[in-house]
Amino acid sequence: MNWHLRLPSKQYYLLTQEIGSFRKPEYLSRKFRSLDENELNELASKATFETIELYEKAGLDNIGVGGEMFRWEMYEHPIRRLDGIIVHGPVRSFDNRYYNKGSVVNKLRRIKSFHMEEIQLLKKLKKKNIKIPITGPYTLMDWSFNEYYRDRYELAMEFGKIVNQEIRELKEFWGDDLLQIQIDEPAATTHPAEMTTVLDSINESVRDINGIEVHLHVCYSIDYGLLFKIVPDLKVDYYNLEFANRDSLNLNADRIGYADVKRFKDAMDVTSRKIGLGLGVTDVHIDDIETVDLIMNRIEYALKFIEPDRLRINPDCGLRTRSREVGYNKLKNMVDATREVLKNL
Amino acid sequence: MITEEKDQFYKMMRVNKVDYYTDPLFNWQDIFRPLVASIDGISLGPLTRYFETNTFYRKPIVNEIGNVKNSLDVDGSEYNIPGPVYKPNEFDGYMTFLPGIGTFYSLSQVNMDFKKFQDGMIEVYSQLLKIMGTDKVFFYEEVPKDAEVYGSFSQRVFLRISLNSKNSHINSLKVYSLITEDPYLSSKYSNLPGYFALDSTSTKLENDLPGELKRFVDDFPELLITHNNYLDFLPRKIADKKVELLGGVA
Repeated sequence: MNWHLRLPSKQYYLLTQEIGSFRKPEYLSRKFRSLDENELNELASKATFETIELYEKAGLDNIGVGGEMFRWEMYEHPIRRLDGIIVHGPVRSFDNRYYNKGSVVNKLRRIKSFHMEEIQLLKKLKKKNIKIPITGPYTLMDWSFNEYYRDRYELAMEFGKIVNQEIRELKEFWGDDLLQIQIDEPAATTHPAEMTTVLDSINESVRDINGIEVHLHVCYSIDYGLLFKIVPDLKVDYYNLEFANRDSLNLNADRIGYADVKRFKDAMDVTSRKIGLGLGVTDVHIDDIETVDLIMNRIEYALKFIEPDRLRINPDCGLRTRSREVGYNKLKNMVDATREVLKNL
Repeated sequence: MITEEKDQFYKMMRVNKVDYYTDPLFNWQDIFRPLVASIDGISLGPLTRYFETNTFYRKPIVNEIGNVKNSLDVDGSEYNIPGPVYKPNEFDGYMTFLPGIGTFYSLSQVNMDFKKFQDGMIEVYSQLLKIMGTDKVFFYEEVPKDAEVYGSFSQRVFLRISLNSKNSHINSLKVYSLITEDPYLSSKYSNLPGYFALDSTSTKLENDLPGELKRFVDDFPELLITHNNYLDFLPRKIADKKVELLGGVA
């Protein structure tokens, strides 16, 4: 059920959204790991308010969960709430950034909700325009050492069941209103031979849950074509993808980073489900603030292929690696560029 | 801090009687970054997934291959490395780490054909090894487009190739040590055959390593045993235990 897509009114043209994470204020990040549950709840709530204020000041249509202030990072947060997985220590992800990679050593069991605190806070604040990012089952599998399940497929499906439990619980709490869920699968196209595992585990995550709009976020893919091939079978409404990272900052360059928009359109045309694209227009791994003109150019390029009611505008990925100031300026220019484009639609 | 950590690492190698080792690359953001920073004509491109892993690198953009810059102490900005990048090391077992030329070519955006790229890289690698003054070099090669070329270096060459890589093929080759999954094949092309005895993609420990290696005792008077990929893919605590296992075999 996707009422945004079924009402192609101008108010649903080019909605702006964030992708998930945002840099934590220092009062939270410095102490994050040493805080007890109450302290963390208090400081993370404060940081969420402040981040939502920033988002609203920038003019975002969708505020996500206010920057994932309750989460240290996207992998460790859920696996610390599971039984059957142990963490030996950090491994490198990129540059000099590390994450705590878990080893699955027993049957997995969810012992605590991953994101209930966030949705409770957002409901209390009466925020409706939210989107909850949840780390996807394939990525949870791919980023873990498997030392218990028969194979990677079986482990991914187990994670799929767990993510399904989580989404179901969040939806029950949220009530009748449509709830946007973003399944984060940065690993989705890492192993070309495992796309069936990607497909089945994501579908398992949302199986038989009504009243949700399902977004899938994939980034830094070697080949989005692998993803586009399974689009007709995926139970996903929006695909929020990274493009700016692979594009030039030069306004007059060919929009080489956006070549896959056309391929996405081809995938749209062969699927019976009404789907849309979340277009990454700012690179989250550089401090350069993309100009309004450049972002407009990128959006206008995408509009050659995708109708405006099926196109949403977002950064490539979460902005947590940028300073809050840089992150805000990127979002502000993104919103300003979108509004300029909207004037001509 | 980096120097201190590296010193600890070298000490661990000596304590565990590991015969050969490279820089631990603690301050390398990825295997190309220091080279991009120290070779004229190469610049940083987009963040890109490193093979089928959850690690990323900045894709090198190679417009030309110039000389190695005089100072290898590149700046410590966000996109570069807190120096020193290549630091001469006095220990006997030390090997200079370099990404394989085929790997470098395949994972970069290169505006020239492979032959020209290869010739250029041999030249800059030779310059770099001369500056380093080391007599042993370790090439990490995932895509050996022309492995024969490694015979042209005057240093003692240790070449790591994964035969599982779909791109791996060896026609003719002679290096000091070829390290693969198959020590019998390694012995055909090198004096000191090398074997991936430890799995750097699993936190399971190979506690029966000596037992597992007994099958090779009659066939190889000398066998270099190592891990199949960077230990960076493992939590440090497990990686250290695997190093101890290597030492235990000795």
